[in-house]
Amino acid sequence: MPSTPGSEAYSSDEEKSMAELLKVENLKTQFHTESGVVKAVDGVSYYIDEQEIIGLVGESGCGKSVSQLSVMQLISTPGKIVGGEVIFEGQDLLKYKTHGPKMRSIRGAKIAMIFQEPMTSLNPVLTINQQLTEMLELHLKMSKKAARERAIELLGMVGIPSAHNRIDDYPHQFSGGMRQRVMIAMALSCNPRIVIADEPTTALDVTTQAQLLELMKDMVERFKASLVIVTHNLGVVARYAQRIYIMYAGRIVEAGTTKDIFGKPRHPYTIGLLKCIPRLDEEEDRKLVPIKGLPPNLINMPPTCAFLPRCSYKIKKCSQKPWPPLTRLHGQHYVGCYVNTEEMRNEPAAR
Amino acid sequence: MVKKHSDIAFSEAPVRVSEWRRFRRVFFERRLVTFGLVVLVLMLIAAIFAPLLAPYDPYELGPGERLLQPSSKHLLGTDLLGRDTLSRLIYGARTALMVGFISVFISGIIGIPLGVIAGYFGGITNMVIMRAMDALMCFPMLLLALVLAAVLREYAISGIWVVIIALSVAVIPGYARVTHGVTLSIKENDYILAQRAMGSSNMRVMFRHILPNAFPPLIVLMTMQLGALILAEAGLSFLGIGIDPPGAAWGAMVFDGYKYLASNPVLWLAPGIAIALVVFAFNTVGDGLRDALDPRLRGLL
Amino acid sequence: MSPRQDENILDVRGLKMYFPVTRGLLQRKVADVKAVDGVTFTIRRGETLGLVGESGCGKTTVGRCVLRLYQPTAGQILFEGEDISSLPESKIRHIRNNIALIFQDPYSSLDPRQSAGSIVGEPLKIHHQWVGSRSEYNNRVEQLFRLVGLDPSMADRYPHEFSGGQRQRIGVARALACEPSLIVCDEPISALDVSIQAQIINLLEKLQAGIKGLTYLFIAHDLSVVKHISDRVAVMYLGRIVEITKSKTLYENPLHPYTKALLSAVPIADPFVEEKRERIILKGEVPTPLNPPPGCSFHPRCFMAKPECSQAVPPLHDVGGGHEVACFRV
Repeated sequence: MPSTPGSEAYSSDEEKSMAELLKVENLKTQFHTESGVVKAVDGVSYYIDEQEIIGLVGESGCGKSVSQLSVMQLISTPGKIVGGEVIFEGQDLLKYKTHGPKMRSIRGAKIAMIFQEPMTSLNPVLTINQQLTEMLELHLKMSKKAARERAIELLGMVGIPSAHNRIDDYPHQFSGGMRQRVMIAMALSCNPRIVIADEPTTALDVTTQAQLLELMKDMVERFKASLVIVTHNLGVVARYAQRIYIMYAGRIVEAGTTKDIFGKPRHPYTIGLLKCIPRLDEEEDRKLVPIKGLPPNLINMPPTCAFLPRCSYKIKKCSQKPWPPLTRLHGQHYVGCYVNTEEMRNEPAAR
Repeated sequence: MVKKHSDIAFSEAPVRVSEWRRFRRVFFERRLVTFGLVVLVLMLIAAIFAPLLAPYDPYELGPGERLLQPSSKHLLGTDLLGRDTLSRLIYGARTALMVGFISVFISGIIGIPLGVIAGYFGGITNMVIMRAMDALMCFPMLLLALVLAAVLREYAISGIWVVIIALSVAVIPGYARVTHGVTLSIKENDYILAQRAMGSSNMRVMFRHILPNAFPPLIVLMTMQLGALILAEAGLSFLGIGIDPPGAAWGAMVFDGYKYLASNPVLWLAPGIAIALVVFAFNTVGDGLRDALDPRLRGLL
Repeated sequence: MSPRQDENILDVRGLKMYFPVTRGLLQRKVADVKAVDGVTFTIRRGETLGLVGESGCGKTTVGRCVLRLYQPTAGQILFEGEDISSLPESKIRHIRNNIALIFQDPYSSLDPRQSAGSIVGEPLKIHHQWVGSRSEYNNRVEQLFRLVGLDPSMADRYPHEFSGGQRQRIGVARALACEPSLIVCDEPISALDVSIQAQIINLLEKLQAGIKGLTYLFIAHDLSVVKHISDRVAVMYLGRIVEITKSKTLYENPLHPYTKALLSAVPIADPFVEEKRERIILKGEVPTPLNPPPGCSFHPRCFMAKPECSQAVPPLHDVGGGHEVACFRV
């Protein structure tokens, strides 16, 4: 059983490695807290192709942010990456020392990250110029003058008006939306292959969110990079992502193209999510169907499926067997569930 | 199966976290804190059971037994008037604790509400109260105590009460300031706004909602103040204000003993070490309390 | 209390709320933050009016004014026919058991030192005409717990022992304690996980269906949620209402250019629908209420703007069927 969904869609190993930019295999990250071990990421495998936009979707605590921080080796005590491989450009990144030169040359330069909080992601005591050029000088070995030119150019690209005037401003002189644009400029400054955006617009207004997501999409196309959008907002991934991974309790429970996931969702959690969010275009008297219960406690998880207590499709097998592995449905659509939810479409109401 | 509408909430009650266990764990994490607690407990026992523990009456004069060195009969020797040092030390604990606790109580009763009122109402009220506190703080504590002592003697108040009142007054601003600061931050919480929206009276908000949430830093402050106050009491007794003889007070004992610096070192060493130990104990226990209650207060208190 | 026969439980007219900006030692006023700049709307008994807009639009301030947590700078607020906009605090107190508030943040809206039962029952203690004896009080608290789907045996637990969704339920129970006729919900679900949000939305809807005359003023920035729960929606921009209409009409026939842009900015969880949608991306950012543009506050970013739009403030006018828009071009 292949562990990476979709990887056997390619006919030969060579073709496979040519297309896949990043391949994460069975990643495991744990946090040691006073109450116990939190298995934040518990065997996550996915891949990213060149020039594509993927979505990593889940609610708080599902492990989506931690998994990306693990890829960048930005996890610190009490967290620890305890297993798995992150293959990028033919090398396993996890084999590099966390603070070593090889990993540092990847971060920012080859794989860049945009964080959620525009207020705290920028250093308040440095000018925008200093923060942008720092990366250019470090990774691309540009001279101060050339770096400044490039920085102004980048600020213009992300839509900051009068960039040559504003380049010497401090972060507090920019609004939240502007700061996030600066973050986008910083992320793209060294022409990374992958940009990871971790809840990039949750803290912003709706119209600003729309502007920035469009900008990210355009930039990523222009720079021929791939984009990972980590979010809990299904609408955002419906609009922008080509493939989606749904995460729950530290694992991927469903994976597929956007149309697969929204058109034919198979995992009870995915189905539940889609039924419980209000939509602008819904019928007037549509009733939301909440997912009963609470998000799981990641300490002392039982070996069975983590979604079991909240599932309306469960069968006897679910409480007897361990967490279901991802199985392929067709094409790139994978689901980790023992139940054929398609057949049971109308039954859960009776349970 | 009949599905109750409240089915959802019934099954998801989170495990009851034991606040006590966490508190105890953090508190006893450092050996020093445990040591401090032991010292304080010992002192408390000494103070409460003084009559049972002291081998002699601390006021009993022993004309024939003056300035004796430590022996099996008098474990810490005797002083100028033949009184047993150990007994005076034990009774001194009583004095120290009394002064400490009563002063903290009085200044707390006055200073804390002042701080809450100033912080809650803001504006002119705040200005008047906090500037008054600032003015009070301008006076060095000992100077203030001296002045108050002199004034109070006019009213025939003397002895231990002079010390208590003087110290209380000197310490009130400390409580007012800390409470004021904490009140300002508590005020910003939504649950305070909820009180206003519900129609709570100002008194209710201040004393049922703000004050209980202000306790953690205040408890830490009080604990540390106890140590400082005992030290201050010792200082005042040393200066001659305060506990009149023949009262047993550590500071006075040091005063008496320092004349015999070389010949009878125990006379001043015993009370001196007692003072140092107790102040140290209060400080470490205060630290421990602060860390266990809210580590974010580090640096502030 | 017998319900009044008036149709409108709340009637807000020309509400303005300016916050002065002061400088210097003597606190001279140098400018005003015009948080709310002339807002007019009504809410019928038993309906839900959604108030939506982005940061700085003034929706939260409107909610606070309705609750008389602020004293409005100008305008009238008629609650149950009585103008409460300039009543002194002592007179306001008696209506406070009739309008309640539910907060956004389940973590800071409950006193961490109070038990859940005490939190829920506090309004009963404050307005002591509600319960007579101790047992009446306990019964009422228990009843409130059950009403919001919480186990009454948890009444002696403290807020930190509950999850976010449960704390929000405690907040709802507290709001219901004195049987208010109007509840102002200020972003009640945005701090919760998606799967829990639906639970609370359903709870609010169920309560409204079960309690006759319960009215909501639902303030939020999430347009999908607001549209779902509201009968009518008012869209705010920089302190003014730009459009009010029935929820269905808002999506099917938005008239104001800002409403159109706002709708287009909200992604729908359906790639097939998204493919076909028109996207209106606005230029620039939301200006601050400290220095709003002259005339129509939206005109600098408006794709339909004409010179006359900067000359005067467009009033809200009815275009038929209760659909009101504030725009010269409509």
